[in-house]
Amino acid sequence: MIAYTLRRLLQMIPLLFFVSLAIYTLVALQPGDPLEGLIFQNPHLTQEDIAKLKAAYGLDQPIHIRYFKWLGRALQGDLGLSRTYAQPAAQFIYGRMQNTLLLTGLSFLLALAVAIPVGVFSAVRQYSIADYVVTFFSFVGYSTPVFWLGIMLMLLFAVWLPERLGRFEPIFPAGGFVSPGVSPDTVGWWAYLKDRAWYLVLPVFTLSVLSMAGWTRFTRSSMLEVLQQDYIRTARSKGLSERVVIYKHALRNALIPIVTLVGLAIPGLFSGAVITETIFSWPGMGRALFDSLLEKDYNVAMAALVFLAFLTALFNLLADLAYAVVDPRIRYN
Amino acid sequence: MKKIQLLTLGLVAVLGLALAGPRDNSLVIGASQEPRVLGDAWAFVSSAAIASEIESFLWAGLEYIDIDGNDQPYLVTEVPTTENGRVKVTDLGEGKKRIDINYTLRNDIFWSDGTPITSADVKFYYEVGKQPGAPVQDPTYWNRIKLSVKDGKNFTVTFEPAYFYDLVGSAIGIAPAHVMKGEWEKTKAEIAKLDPEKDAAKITELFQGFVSKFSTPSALSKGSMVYSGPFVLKRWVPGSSLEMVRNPKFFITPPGGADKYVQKVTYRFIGDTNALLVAILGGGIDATSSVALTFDQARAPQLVRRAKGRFDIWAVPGVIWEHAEVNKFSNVQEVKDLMLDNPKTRQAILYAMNRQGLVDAFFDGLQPVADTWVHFADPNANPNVAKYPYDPEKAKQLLAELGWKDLDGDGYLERKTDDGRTVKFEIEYVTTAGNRIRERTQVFFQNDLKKVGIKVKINNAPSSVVFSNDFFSKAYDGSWKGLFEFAWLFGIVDDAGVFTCKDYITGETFVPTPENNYSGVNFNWCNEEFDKLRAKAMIEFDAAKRKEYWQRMQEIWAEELPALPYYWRSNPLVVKKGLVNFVSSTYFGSFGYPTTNAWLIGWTENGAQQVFDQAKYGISALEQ
Repeated sequence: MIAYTLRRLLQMIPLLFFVSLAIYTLVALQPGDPLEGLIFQNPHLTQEDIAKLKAAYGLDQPIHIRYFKWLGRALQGDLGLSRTYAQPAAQFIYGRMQNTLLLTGLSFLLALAVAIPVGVFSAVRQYSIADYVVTFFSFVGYSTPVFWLGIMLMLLFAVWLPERLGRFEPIFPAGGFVSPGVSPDTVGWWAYLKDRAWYLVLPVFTLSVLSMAGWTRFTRSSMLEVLQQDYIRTARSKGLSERVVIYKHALRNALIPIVTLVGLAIPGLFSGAVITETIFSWPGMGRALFDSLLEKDYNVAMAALVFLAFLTALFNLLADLAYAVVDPRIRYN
Repeated sequence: MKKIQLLTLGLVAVLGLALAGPRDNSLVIGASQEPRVLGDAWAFVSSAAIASEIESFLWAGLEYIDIDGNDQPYLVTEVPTTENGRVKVTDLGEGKKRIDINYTLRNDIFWSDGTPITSADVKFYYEVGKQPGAPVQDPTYWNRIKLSVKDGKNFTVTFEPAYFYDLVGSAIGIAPAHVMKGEWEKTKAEIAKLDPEKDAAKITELFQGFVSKFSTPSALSKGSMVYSGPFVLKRWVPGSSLEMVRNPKFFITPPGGADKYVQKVTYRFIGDTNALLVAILGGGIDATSSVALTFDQARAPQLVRRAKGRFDIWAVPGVIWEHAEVNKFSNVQEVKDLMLDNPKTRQAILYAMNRQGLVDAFFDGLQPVADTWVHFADPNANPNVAKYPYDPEKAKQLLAELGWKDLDGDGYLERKTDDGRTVKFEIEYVTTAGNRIRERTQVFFQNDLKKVGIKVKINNAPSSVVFSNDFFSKAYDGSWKGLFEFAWLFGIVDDAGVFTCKDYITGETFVPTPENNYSGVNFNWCNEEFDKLRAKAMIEFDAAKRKEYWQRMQEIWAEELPALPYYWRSNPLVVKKGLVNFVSSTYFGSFGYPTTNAWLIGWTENGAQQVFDQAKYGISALEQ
């Protein structure tokens, strides 16, 4: 197992090299360069001025030279300066990552906490009214566009309900992540945390709906498959309680495919959710990555994408290792 | 006791939206963009509009453009003019002039830490911008400018060669030397170790690193900068909000006393404009920034319905000119076949486009139809130029004169070319894919043009594609072959460079061809009289004479129509009732920033006096 893990870790080095090369090439091959907007706005720039500006932003060299220069600095831990934010790309990404992990992590936990018990419940009561209700809401949740749900929730809790209740302040705010002027220094930690939680409710719920619905369906079908196995019948015929049959024998086996699904979803926690972050003005990774690509802020885009590639490779490995923990039949050598 | 205070503060903060506005003499402005840095006086990192708007609260320049588009003194005692002897014009011959502008700083001006503002601050700004390798966005400005300091309050700015716009607004910037000089000396020492030719990118990073020490959210929140404007920055939470409070060292006292006007201003950054609209509906926003809602959102029924007694919604004509460029390179076969290089063809197309119908249908008439590239609010605008009201019969007549006829009875025009081919009038129409207004405009005009027998072939692509060098600049090679709709921004200092073929002062040409490596944005319209008048106007410092030249240029332009003018975009502004002097006009602060006279913004119920009437500078969207 240790040898297998080490081998997989070593394989990640060439993998990340090629991934970073591919990403750099694709980002650099986007139509236009960061200076085109500037040149477009100022038609009087001479060719000499443009050449100087290109040199000033390192755009006067071919892509492969630029890539190896970037790689050389990245290997020394320097991911460059964000052209648009004027701060080190790594520092910028780190700040955004914290916001994203808070949002996506809570959504992930909420989705798991709801999906697994509801999926099990639905499978155990297959074809009951409760099962139909769960199935109905799962499909509704799965097919509701996030941008629509987010805006509707904001309208409901920030405009319609307060208007009908005669309240001036919104029940939940329409976007943002903290009230102006609120920080631990100004209002104390408790009020600060309450304020942050107030802003988290709608985006966390919006983001978790899709996974909640999908994972509920997945848990249900996985459980149904396991519940038809011979060993479940055997367990029941041995006189074990239904609770032990469901939670000890069935659920543990049903969890194997769910572990894969969840393991592969973890890198997504870091990449953020562009639509939810945009609608709720949540300054996370998704928006940062999207903006950096639009604005051709290469250093930020590279730092974010290569980091995500690394996480994807790492969590693939962890998911593989988790199989062995969940399913004793699987052994790596 | 402290706990009770903190709890009270917490409650106040959580219910902050409820208490905002006149109750605590504060103002919350909603914006859909957030600046990346503030106070980057040299624009080494950014020069975004939202940054300029917020900077009006924090820093004062030497002069500013007032609500009527006139220069006003700010940090200086008076606006330099030839009449008051502060501007000296020297004719250098060969169509070149030099100007020397003498400024005197006021005696009662201080940075927010109490340090007097002096010529040393102007000199520091100049020194940094002039440093070899500085990644300045307008190198010609830095090549032409020189500074000589006489004493702590007097200095002279020289431009050679000089242009008329050097006398519009501040001729030079200012930065707090006592705060930034130490860091600059360190940066300069680092730059000195590098080779400007080989290490240009590293030098750029050093400049950006220097600016970032005083301009990023964390640097400003830590108090690393000082301010000369009516407010000082208190806290900036990136992605959320920015708070400013009144600067006690600011030298202008508004009528009735500063305490009658807003004491705290908060910008809330809500990137998604639908979410911003919801926040306005929810009552958490007192006014919108110049970068906020789209025009359609500001007229959304949900907002208009709730506006009565709560909000005013204004449409303020702005400086963004929506138009279609026309490919006039006759070496491109399609251009030659359709005779797009012939002014008559362009006139026919414009007659066939119902522009007034378009702005009435899409914008309730709130975005005015444009006649030329010069805004009607510009003091040099010529109202008597040729106009092209919707007249399909006139369009058909012009097309018939050019030999177009429906030969095959399919409803579209054809003509026989000199080499015996039959060509159909089918014109390509390019714009930025995904821009709903432009796509709707295309369909509207496609329908109009069909009525006169012109077939429109829509060919859109994302803006990154259509504005790339390989597409936008290569009309000569036929990268686009007909009409290309987009917008230019023409400020109060526009120099008609977009339509200049040859610059008679520098000798440069602005028609993008392989010979000049595709530089310039004039898609092959060359009018010698226009170019010569422009060359005269560029160095004419007598406003009345310059107006004469400019008016004749507009006449020529309107006759020849090198491009098809559509309309001037209007900026929507949503303002809560009772908030005064948060107003915008076409040229306020150069580009219509409602924060230009920030010291006057206040609530009438707190005693603020109304100085400006928005109705004079915009149209109420509620009365349409």
